Amino acid sequence: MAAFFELQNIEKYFGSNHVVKNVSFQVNCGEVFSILGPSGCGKTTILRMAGGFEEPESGSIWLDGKEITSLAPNKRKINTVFQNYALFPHMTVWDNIAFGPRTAGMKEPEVSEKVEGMLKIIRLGEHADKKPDMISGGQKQRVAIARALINNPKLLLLDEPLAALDLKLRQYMLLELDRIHDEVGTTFIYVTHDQGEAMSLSDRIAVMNNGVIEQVGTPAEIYETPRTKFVASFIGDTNFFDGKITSLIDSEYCKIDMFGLGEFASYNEHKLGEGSPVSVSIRPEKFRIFDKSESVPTELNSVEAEILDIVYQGAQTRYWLRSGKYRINVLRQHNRCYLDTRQPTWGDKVRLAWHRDDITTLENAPR
Amino acid sequence: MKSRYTSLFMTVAVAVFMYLPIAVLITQSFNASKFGGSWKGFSLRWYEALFNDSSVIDAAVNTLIIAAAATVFSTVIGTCAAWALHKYKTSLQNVHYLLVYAPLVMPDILMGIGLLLLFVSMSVNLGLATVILAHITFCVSFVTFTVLARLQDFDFALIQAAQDLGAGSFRIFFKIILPLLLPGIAAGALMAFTLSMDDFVVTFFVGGPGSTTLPVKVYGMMKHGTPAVINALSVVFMALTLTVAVVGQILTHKKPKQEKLQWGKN
Repeated sequence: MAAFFELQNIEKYFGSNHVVKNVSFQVNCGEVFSILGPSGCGKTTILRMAGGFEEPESGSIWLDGKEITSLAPNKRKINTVFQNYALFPHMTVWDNIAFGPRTAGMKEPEVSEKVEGMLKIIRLGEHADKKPDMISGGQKQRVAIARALINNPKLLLLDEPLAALDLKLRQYMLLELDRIHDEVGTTFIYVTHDQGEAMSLSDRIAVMNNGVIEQVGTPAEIYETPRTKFVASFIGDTNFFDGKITSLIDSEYCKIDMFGLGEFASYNEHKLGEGSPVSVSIRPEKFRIFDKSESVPTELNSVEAEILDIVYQGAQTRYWLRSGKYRINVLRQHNRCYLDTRQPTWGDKVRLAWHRDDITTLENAPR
Repeated sequence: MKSRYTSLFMTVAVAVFMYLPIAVLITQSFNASKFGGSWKGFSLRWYEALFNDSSVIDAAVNTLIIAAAATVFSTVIGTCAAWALHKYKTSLQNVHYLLVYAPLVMPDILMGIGLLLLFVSMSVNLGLATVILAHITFCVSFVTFTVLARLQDFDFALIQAAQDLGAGSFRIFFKIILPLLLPGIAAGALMAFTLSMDDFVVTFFVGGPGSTTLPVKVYGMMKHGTPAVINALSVVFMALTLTVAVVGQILTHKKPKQEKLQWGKN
């Protein structure tokens, strides 16, 4: 079955600048699909091509079984929520929302029924007669969403919709977006550089870097099994250890010489061969710290380490440890009262342990 | 205390310098004396004489026709030029910018002589049409720069937003671009109108029979007419210009009241 929305082998240049490199992905009907990446990675360009504001040099774009690659923006059943809202400043909230239906030639009674419905969804009924410069940023954002959604688009594109809001408002709007999505069920493509937004809102995420999609997957897949070093470091915190595969244990595990730390059994998801230079990514919360007096369970890998720094953060404590040439970032949840239990302290020599399945072995591409 | 007196003195001095001549003019236009040496009592006889002089009425009508035509054409051309200057950024645009800018600083007399030579060399009969063409020429630059200033705040994302919502170029122009640029366009038109109305130098050079405007008429009357009638004419002319300017100001500077943003009240 063909996907609901699909990009096939899209290439885009700005002058000699290759901004989108052979990008393909599929979006399912009704899902929230995020494109996540640092600024300048090409994510907004992809969104603009989906909206019809840019045309790709090659490749094709499909919506609901029809090719729309070179269709004008006003001919696509796609609407966009622009980065800075782009509300019409000379029109009231009401007229802004009514712009789409009126353009489509809908009769006034019908228009006002639809606008009323939208105002209810975004909960802004009492501000309908105000001009955009009289309402707050979060309210503008919701007007922009209503103005787009009123046209019953098959696809709603959101370009960094929360970037201009302060932190509190951003968290609130995130919940609002989620609620609105549940209410209308439209397919969303959400572009952001904020991994928190993408993780909490999306069904699936495409991580982009330098014009290339590095990985597409659910938030958990992206976080737990990153496919590239970039994905591992861009999503959440991680520790990288350089090494080399010394031998394969079986089809799933191998032995890795982590330079300076020793040789450890490791999960080899990408089936890298013997002798490959690798980079092992271990998330801070995957480590466990054992006191010298405790014995480390045999199924865990462990190294000796010294505690350099401790940052108590209430729900958790962040430790910085030194082992070999590495400074290691470790996060420890407190599932018992912090004061009641003996905690590691500065200068302690401890054993730092991790399970061989809780790591990601990535090919270390030569630079 | 000293500074208060200084500023008061400055205010009075400026007022005297700028408005005393005008006040004298207005007073003299109501003076019954023919030469204005002394006050001979209040009279409207010069205004009567003025409105009985058909050539003055003709000049007033000419002035309005020329100003209206020059305003309409220069506003349309100037607005298009501003749009093009703002939207398309190529190296040729610098030349375009310079071409539009030059008339702002060029002495009127140069433009007058230049246009006269052009019309003569093309053997065009001087008259209303040549005056209108000349006025359009110098008004375009003023309109362009007024509209260009307004365009600096114009958000082109709005056009994409309208496109995104299904609007074609026609609807985008009339519903989005025109309403948002209107204050700038109106200000430009107003400037064109007042500039055209009180232009003397260029009109003097390119005018011909049947194209006498009020400023040219005043100049002519200085040589042959009654000084007191000129006073009355000047007052009428001034009232006309002032009315246009005031009406324009009211129309273009009507801004909606802005309420203070209320954060946290969503």
